[in-house]
Amino acid sequence: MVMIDVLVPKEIENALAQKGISADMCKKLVYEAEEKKAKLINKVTGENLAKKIMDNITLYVMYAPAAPGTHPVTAYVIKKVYSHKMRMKNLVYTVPEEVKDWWCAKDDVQTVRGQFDLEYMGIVRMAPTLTCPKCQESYIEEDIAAKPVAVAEMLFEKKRA
Amino acid sequence: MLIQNSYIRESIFLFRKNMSYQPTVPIDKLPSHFISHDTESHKKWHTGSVTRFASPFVDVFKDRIDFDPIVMAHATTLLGFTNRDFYEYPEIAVHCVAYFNELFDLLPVAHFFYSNVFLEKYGVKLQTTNTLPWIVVGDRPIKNPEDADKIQKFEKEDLTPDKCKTTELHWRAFDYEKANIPDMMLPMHNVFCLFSMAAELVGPEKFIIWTRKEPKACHKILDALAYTSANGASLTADRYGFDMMVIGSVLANSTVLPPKYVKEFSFDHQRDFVRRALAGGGGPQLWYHLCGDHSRDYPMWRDVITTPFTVIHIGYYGDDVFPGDLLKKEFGNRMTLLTTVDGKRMIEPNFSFIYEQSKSQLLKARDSPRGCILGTTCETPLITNPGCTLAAVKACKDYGTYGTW
Repeated sequence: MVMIDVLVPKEIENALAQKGISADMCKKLVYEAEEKKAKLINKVTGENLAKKIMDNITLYVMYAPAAPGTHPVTAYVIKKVYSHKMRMKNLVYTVPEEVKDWWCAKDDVQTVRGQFDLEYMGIVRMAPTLTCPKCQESYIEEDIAAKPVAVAEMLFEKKRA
Repeated sequence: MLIQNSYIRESIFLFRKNMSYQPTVPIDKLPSHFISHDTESHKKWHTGSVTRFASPFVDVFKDRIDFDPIVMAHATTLLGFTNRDFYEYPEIAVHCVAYFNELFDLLPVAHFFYSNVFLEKYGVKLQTTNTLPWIVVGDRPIKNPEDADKIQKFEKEDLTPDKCKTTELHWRAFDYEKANIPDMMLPMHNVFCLFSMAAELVGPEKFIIWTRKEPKACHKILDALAYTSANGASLTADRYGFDMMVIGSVLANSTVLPPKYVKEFSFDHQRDFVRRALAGGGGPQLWYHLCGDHSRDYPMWRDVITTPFTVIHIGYYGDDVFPGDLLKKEFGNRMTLLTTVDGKRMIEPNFSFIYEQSKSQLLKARDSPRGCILGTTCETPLITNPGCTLAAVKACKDYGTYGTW
């Protein structure tokens, strides 16, 4: 484990609690992302985006150095958490369109725009992702998770009820 | 005598010019002219229609495939109102579309939109006529490539109804729906075709030539329109919670431009628009409306940005309707299809032709993995023969079942 502190602000802790996730779980996600470089880095803002597939949801954590500009980083602060229930199934295609700010930490390359098949309640539909062109690891951005994907989940649940 | 006659003619002309168009039915009386949506028969129809409408998006199939003739001012004229009622009084437009849809057992939603959106912000003069939607009249504001350097990108606060006719008209439609026919309310943002809109600012022929001679100027105009339109989508989503976005490539088609140019001047800017608009809260439904001939450029449209609620609609392959089987093969695993019947044939008293073409297209596309809808190649014409609308609905009932049987 990398020896770093992860600070979870109260409002983030509350948001996590609503999803039934503990602050410790969130910290663990960050430790793992740092250790394995399994994350995206925004080279303009310094923010990091990591994800973890859990039982019923995929959890995303956006975090940044607690004291920007200092090296090595000894503490991170969680900025945002969001999630989706749809399971990421397979990458359908990518478009070599630069997503200028986000880079894959593991491969040190700029992400491209991907389209990923997501599955929920047996229904498969696509949504856009940030995708590493090398390792093809893909991340759903917050606005996509919060609206198109969330609406799809709600509608699928309603129609399949 | 001659002078007097000329004076009278001029006076009448000026009077008519200054007299604003009055709606066929005053807006405050409009709801009383339609049957209330509280009736049991409406509720029963609407419940069934909603399930059918949702079926391609949720893989829970209802009785049959829907027919969407993309009805606009035809709804008003068929129901005894006028073309100008539709475009100048969006309240009349949405109530007529809602009634028309129930009359022909179509979609459970009303809608209002038109092509030349936001152009008035760029100094274009628009007017309707007895037969045409909002069209550009008079001088084009961008006369030379240098003018493109000065083109504005409008923010949300520039696009509020008090400052923007496009927003005013659309919000009047949605507010009326909310107050009077809430079960059929559908907030929409019609981006239309960014390429066509840019062409209207310059002059269509000139803009097409500029794609070869002044590409930088073209991109500046397209960038500005994509930015403004994305803010428009976001503004409407802020107010109503969401807005279905219609994105088109109409003038940018295979007859007018080589595929490389369709990509550079239409497709790429649409991707930019869609991503911006989604980030601003637009969507989640996306409707790609590729009107015109896309026989050479259709493969690129496989790579549009999609959400779980995305429809692809391609009008023509050359002079023929875009084949339903080709649409299924290329797009069926990515989005919901809108396969087409020839809109320009909808005015003829040839119901058998529409029925047979609808049947053929349905048999080719109905079992597409992510659902299928039947529609017309573009907006159903103002003088559409209602017998043709009925013929397409009949074909949906007879052949628009899902599956390969």
